[in-house]
This record gives sequence, C-alpha cells and structure tokens, in this order.
Amino acid sequence: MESGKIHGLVGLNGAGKTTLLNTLYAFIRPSEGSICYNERPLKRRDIAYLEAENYFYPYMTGREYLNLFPAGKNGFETDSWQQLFHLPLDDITENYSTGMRKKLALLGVLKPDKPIVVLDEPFNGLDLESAHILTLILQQLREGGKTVLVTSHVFETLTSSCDQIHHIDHGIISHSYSREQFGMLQKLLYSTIEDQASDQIKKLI
Amino acid sequence: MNSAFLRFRLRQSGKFIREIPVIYLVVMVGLLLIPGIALYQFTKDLKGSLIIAAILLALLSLLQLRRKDYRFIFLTEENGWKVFSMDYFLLSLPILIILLVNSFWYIALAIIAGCIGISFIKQPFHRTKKGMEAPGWIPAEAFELRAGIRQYGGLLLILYLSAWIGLLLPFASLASLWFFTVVLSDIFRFSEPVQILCAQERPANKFLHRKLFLYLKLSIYAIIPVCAIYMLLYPQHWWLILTFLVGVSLNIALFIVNKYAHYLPNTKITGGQVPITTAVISIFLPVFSPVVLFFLIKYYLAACRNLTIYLYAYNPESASRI
Repeated sequence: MESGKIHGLVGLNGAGKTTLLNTLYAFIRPSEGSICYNERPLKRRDIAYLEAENYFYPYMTGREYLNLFPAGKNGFETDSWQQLFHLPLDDITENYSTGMRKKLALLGVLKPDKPIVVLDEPFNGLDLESAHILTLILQQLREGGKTVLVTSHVFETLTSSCDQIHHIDHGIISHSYSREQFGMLQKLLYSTIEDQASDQIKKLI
Repeated sequence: MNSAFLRFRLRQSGKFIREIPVIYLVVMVGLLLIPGIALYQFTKDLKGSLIIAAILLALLSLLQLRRKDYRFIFLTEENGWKVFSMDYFLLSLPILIILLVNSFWYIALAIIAGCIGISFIKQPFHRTKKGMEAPGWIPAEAFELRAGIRQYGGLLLILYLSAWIGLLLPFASLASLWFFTVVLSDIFRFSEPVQILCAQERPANKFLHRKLFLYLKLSIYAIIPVCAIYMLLYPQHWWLILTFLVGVSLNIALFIVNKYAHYLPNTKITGGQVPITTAVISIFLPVFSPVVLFFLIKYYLAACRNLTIYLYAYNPESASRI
C-alpha cells in the first residue's frame, strides 16, 4: 500500500476484511507471508487500530480512558477534541450512546499519533456532523503523511475520502481501484446484489 | 413461550451446576446444609416463618428492580410477568418446601402470591450513577481501583475510616482493613478491552510486574499508616501486624494474577474463586498461607502465558512475520 494515502477496503460479510486488519495488528499470526513497513517487518507499535466493536471498562469515564494512552510527539489537546465531538468525557461510558462510544474509541486511536491508522467501520453510529468531521480528520491524517486503511459498508463514506479502494473477496484482494474507477467498483458491487436479490425481495415482501 | 423460558432456565441452572467441579459442589452442598438446617429450625414457629417470608419477598422485589434482563423480557414477551413470577417461584422453592414441611402452607401460598405481585413491579429507567469520584493522585493505570472507588466508594471510605476509628480497640482496626481488602478483591473481576491492555505497549511479564508493583504500592500507602499507629498502640501485637501485611500483600498479588490468568477481553472473571476465598480466609487462618502462595505462583505463570497471547507483539524479538 502506498504510504501517505487513504485506502478503503470493501467486501461482503465474511470476505476477510476484519481478519486482514487483525493480522496487520498482530491479533492473528499470519499462516504464511510477511507484512512489511518501510522495508522492515511491521510492528504493532507502528499501528493505531480502531475495532468495529468498541468496549470500555465498567465505571470508567471517557477522560480516564483517554489518559491510558500515551500522547504522540505532537501532544493531544483532550479538551479541544471534547468540544469538537461534544463528548461528555467526565461521565462514565455506560451512559454513552453508540456514536459517543465510537467517537471516544476514535480519540483513543488518534492520541498516540501512529504512522499507520487502521479503522474498522469508523462511520458506524456516527451522526451526520460527526461523519463529516471524521472525513475531514482522515484527510488531515493524509496531509500529515499517515497511511490510513478504512473499511466501511457505506460506499459513499469511502468514495468521499479514499484515494484507493481495494476489493477483498474470500480473503484475497481481487482488485484495487483508483479514484477514477470508483464508479466502476460501485456498479460491480451493486449490480451483483441487484441481480440476485431484487426478485427474491419482491417475492418475500 | 413460558415453557420455553422454563426449559431455558432449567438448562441454565443445569449448566451452572455442571460447571462447578465436583469437589467444590460437595463442599458447597455441605456448607448450604448449615443455613438450610438453620432455616428449618427458624421457621418452626409462625413468627420465624413470617420473618423469612418477608425477607424473601423483599429480596425478590430488589431483584425485580435491578435485574438486567428486565427490558429484554419486557420487550420480547407479551406477558412478561409470567416469566418473572416463574423465576421467583423457582428461587423461592427451597423456602417453600421448608415451610410446607413445617406445615405453614398458607405462608407458602402467600409467598407464591407475592411472587406474582412482584412480577408486576415496573423497573424504572435509570442511568448508571457515576458514583464517588476517584482521587486524582491514583494513576490512570490503576483504572480498576478508580472504577472500584466509583462503584464502591462509599463502602470503601466507611471501612477505611472504621480502620482509623477502630484503633481505639485491639483487632477492630485490622478487621476493618480485612473487609477493605475483601471489597478490593471484587474490583479485579472484569477483563478490560484489548485496546486498554495494549495501551502501554509492554510485553506480558513487564505488564504484569508493573501492575503488581503499582497495586502493592497503593495498598501499602493505604494500610501502612493504620498499621504503624496500631503497632504504637499495641506493641505486643507486632507479630499480628507483620502477618497481616504479608497476608494482604499476598492476597492483592493473587487477585491480580488471578485476573490475568483468566483474562478474556470484555468478560467477567469467574475463575479462581476458591483460591480467592481461601486467600481472604487465610488472614484469619494463616495456616492457609502456603496454599495462597501456591496459587499465587501457579496463576502468575498462567497469567504470563495468557497475556502473551495478546501482548506477544511487544516482545523485543517479535515481528509480524513468520
């Protein structure tokens, strides 16, 4: 993957997106092959990873959660981020909505300022304003030279932010699409669904 | 649907019992016989039976107000009250049997009616209360303690203040501190998410050592001042203080290694309850201390192995490459 770019990853459920991300983050050891970064083996320390499901410790406040992560060399202005995302950082996470939990987890990923940022379904649960802010954040990460890998089931969220989208099928990257080819990818993804499902849906509903 | 729930509840109970090792089951049954016999004796007269019935219904009411599956059953079942009343009937069964044996069938009927009535109590919606604020000097890494203070803060404060007030009497102070550590054992009963585990980017053994050192340091800070004053007031009990300090240190170390020996992200720790119980009792019966030491070593090794599954990537020689 080219560094300093935003890469999207699409595929059906069970295609292997999360498995790939877990392998990058060394939650799963690869059965063969290697993962390299700048011509050396990729280390978990190089990656910040946002999982699709976000969990927190019971009776922990948002601020306490963020305090667990060391800040990157540029520091981290917690209060400024709090204002941007309207997060009640001094409340316990049990009282957070789904979107708030996603935003808090995202801040925990951004704070360490890693060169590679991997986000699994980051747009899930976000309101329109926050989704737009996240798109701006991704663009800013790219400007800062970070390599970003994003998965999403909402195609428009990828086309608005990504430089390249990779299509994964049965654990293999079948094709990579540049910005000019996003329309082709959309047609490919939706036409398959349209053909197979529309007749069935008409019968069922 | 109710018969399905009944079968489900019976399967749940069966699974719970099957998962208890036989020796523990035998010990538990033996231990339960004692309150069982005590209950039987207590309910031989009308007054005792009425008291037991009232306590039982009060506890069931509390359960109705606090049970976590209330909304699920309320939403999925058209007549949720039937499910609740069946649950409470099953829970009351031992008491009902004892009452019937003692011929207080009308009190048993009243309990059954009470179970049905309790089923109609609506659980108010409540936000989880934030609880007491943890002091700022407790570091972020001691999040279990910070969360524990939030959850049990009032109780911990009362016990700690009692330890100071109890210095006026021999042993009272140490008893309060013992209760204090019993409550502390509960704060290590939840596995944090992997993101928190990996936040400090340490390999397994360094992670564990740092956690042990942190909590032993914090507990010593809390306990030493009380023990020092106790030693001044009751110098003849110096051996007791030393035994107590060693016992508490072993216990806290055991709570931590037990947690990580059974660590599974985002789950409640259910393993190691018998060693934890033994550790808590060993403060009064130091003869159990070698057992505690044994489990401490055993779970320390298990914790290192278990944590390596999640933290191997931080080993100096590790790489994401075969």
